[in-house]
Amino acid sequence: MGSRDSRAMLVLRRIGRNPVALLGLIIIIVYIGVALFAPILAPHDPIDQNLSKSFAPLSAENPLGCDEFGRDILSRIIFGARTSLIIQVFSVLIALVTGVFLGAVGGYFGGWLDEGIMRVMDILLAFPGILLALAIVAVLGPDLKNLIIAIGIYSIPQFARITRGSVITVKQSEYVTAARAIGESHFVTIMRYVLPNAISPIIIQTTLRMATVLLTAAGLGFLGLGVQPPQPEWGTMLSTARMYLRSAPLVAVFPGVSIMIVVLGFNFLGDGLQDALNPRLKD
Amino acid sequence: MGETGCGKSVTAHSVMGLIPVPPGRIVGGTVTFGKHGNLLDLKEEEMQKLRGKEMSMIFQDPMSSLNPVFTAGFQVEEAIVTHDRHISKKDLLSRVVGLFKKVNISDPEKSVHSYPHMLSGGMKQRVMIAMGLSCGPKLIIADEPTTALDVSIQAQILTLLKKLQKEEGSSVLLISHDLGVIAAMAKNVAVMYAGSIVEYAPVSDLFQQPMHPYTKGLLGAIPRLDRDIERLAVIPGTLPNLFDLPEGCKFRERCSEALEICASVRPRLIEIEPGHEVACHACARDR
Amino acid sequence: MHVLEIDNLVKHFPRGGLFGGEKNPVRAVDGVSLALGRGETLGIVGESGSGKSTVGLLSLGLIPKTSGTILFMGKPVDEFEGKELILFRRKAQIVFQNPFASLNPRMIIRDIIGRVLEIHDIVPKSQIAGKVGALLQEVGLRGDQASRYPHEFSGGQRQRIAVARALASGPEFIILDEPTSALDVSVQAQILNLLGDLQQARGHAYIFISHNLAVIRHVSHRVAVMYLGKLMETAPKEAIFSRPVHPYTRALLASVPKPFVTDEDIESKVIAGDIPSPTNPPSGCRFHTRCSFCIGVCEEAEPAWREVAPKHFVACHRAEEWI
Repeated sequence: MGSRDSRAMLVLRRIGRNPVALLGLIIIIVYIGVALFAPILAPHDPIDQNLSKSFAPLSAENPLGCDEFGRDILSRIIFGARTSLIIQVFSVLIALVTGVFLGAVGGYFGGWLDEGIMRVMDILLAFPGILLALAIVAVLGPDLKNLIIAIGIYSIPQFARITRGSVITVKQSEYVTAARAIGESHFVTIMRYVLPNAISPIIIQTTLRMATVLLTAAGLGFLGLGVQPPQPEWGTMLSTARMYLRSAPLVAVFPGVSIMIVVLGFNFLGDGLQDALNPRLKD
Repeated sequence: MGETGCGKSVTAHSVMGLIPVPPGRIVGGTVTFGKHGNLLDLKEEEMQKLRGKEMSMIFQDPMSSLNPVFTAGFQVEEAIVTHDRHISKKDLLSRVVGLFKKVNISDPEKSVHSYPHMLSGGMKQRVMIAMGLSCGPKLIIADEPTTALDVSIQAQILTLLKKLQKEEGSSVLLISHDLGVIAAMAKNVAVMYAGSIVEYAPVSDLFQQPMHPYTKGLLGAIPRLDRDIERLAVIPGTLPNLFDLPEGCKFRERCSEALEICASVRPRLIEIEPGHEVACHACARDR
Repeated sequence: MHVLEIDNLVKHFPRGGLFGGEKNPVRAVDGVSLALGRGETLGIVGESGSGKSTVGLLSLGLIPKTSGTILFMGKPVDEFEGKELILFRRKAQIVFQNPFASLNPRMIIRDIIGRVLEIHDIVPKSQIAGKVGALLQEVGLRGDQASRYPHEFSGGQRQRIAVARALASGPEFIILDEPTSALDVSVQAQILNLLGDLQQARGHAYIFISHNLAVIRHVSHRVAVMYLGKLMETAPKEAIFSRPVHPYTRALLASVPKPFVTDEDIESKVIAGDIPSPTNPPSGCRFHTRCSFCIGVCEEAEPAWREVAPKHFVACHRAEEWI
């Protein structure tokens, strides 16, 4: 590995040698592709109702059949991927930026600042996650933006903790002391010496968190506090399909399977990254 | 004796059959050990019986070679029980206490119940030595036994090893990069470079009359405690890449006495003076 | 004026008890006084727990002291702030023991050294690359190696890079904290020669911290011997190696295995016992538990630090007997 780029290449090569991780990566690439190109891929408009086709069976025109309002399920799954990806990316981004900032500051400076930050994180962690998100959505009102904020906030402590632990280890390295000895400011020391060396567990956490966040969003959708119909979202779809579980079980199966596959994909990749980023592994 | 990457530890591990396979593989040669013949022909179970009983090993880092969750005494007991299943509990304890006394561990009756973290580095190394001695081995391999220790503690451990060797009659294969430790301890010295022995001689010959240019270079490169040196001699260059060793002599590119033949023919160990073997074309020519 | 003057320096590392109760602190440095002259090399030698590395970090203000004074060019180091602190960082540098840990693995060499030039505005931005190349050449590397990462270099080469980083700002003194302990003998010789050449060319001072007495003899003008946070003896190099006074210094010198075959047996020179813990150092003279010349007073009273010969200071009750 000669440069930053080839370090990424090294990690990719390691992922390539691990079939499970590779499968995870492929699933995620397909998922992102579907989300990005949803308007091209979807055969129908996902919110276009056609009551005459209510619960229509699988057919060439509607490969996965139709739901209670006669909407094409395949198209709804495809556009649902888009909604899920938006929720995942933005909520994890909120949690990542805030959590890494708080964790890095606490871990680097230590003392009362660290104490204060970590106690607040402990309080956030003491709530069952879904309840916390529920409470936030209940206060702000259920829509996509608020859902993202709620899930983002409840994911902050995980990032803060992981970052803090990693930063505390890296902080003790001689090159960090050396950075101070040449006169680097605290800000530069954190940004150029500490964080780049503390990043591996954060990357792994980000990947695994994408899976959890998808599940939480689906759960909130299922409870009716997520994305509101008719906008397609997998959790909400699952929730409405539940009422017709006896008469039309397939309507519930497809969003459920979609959730499962994508969650597995992120978890597979996360586990693979854990091995691939292990500095003790040599090629 | 040799520097990092010369193969001194790998040699010792190979003798003990401790090279992990794969990736390691012994591709040739023999290791003859007394009446047991060639150790490389023995099965793993047979080697297991020899290890700890007939031959034992003392490692460099006493901090990590003892298991932190068991007492020091228990770990020595284990070493004994492995090779003597029928020993009684009482005999076992008294034997361990005896061993602790022998290696000068302070307050042996109490120390057998101490966990490794309660002992100092020097004491831990004594426990390792007690473990190595537990079955009265014929061969003790000591791999940099004092490198992790302070000067004053190193002197104690070296003294102890010498005393025990006299009492027990074991042979010691001492691996070290420290020329001082070698001079104080060894009878015969093999100097290794890039995987081969380049010089083999009785200790006094080696230090008074080093022949191989590498040995001479090493002796010139160390700062001396007994006199001032204006400038240390330097061996130019670096160790050759072990994946891609040059043809001929491995030391040629760093050698000031290299001849033409050194580039093409790898020198073999030749006895140049009684008991003094050197692998060097230039030395062979001068005699 | 001395470059660095340390007076009665104390550093205790507190160890919090589980339920708030204070345990005994680690008395890493316990009343050390030293001075470093311009262009001089002061060797500090000691075993583990002697506090020698802590003295190094304290001198640079990298960890806070407990008490005492550290003066750089007559000004207290721990009061430096803002511009003054930056100027001090420029004038005081350090090279660590482990070249595998002291260079940021995510930075190329040009940045590792270039940052020093940038922070202290040594050369205009456009000339940084050129200056880095010149520094690399000065320490025996090639300028074109600047775009590589630390892991592409051997231990000896990395230590050269660490030396180049320390040189970049043109310091008055450099702390060398066991700079060759992690290296092979042949590489050690190269680094020691390099450090000597650089001092001759640039005239900076060194504090050379090591446990290796032979290395200390080779590099130092003056030597300080530490034991459990205290100074035992300081003297010019010739004096300490030919006429050592303190029993600890003498025993330490005797217990180093010499790289030649001698008639003397190492056995007769061994210092008995373990090094006591710096959390609970012995009363009186700290060395009395292991000293073969210990008398009653050694257990009770701390020996006075006094000049027994010109520039030769010793802390031993019986020092005068051995002059």
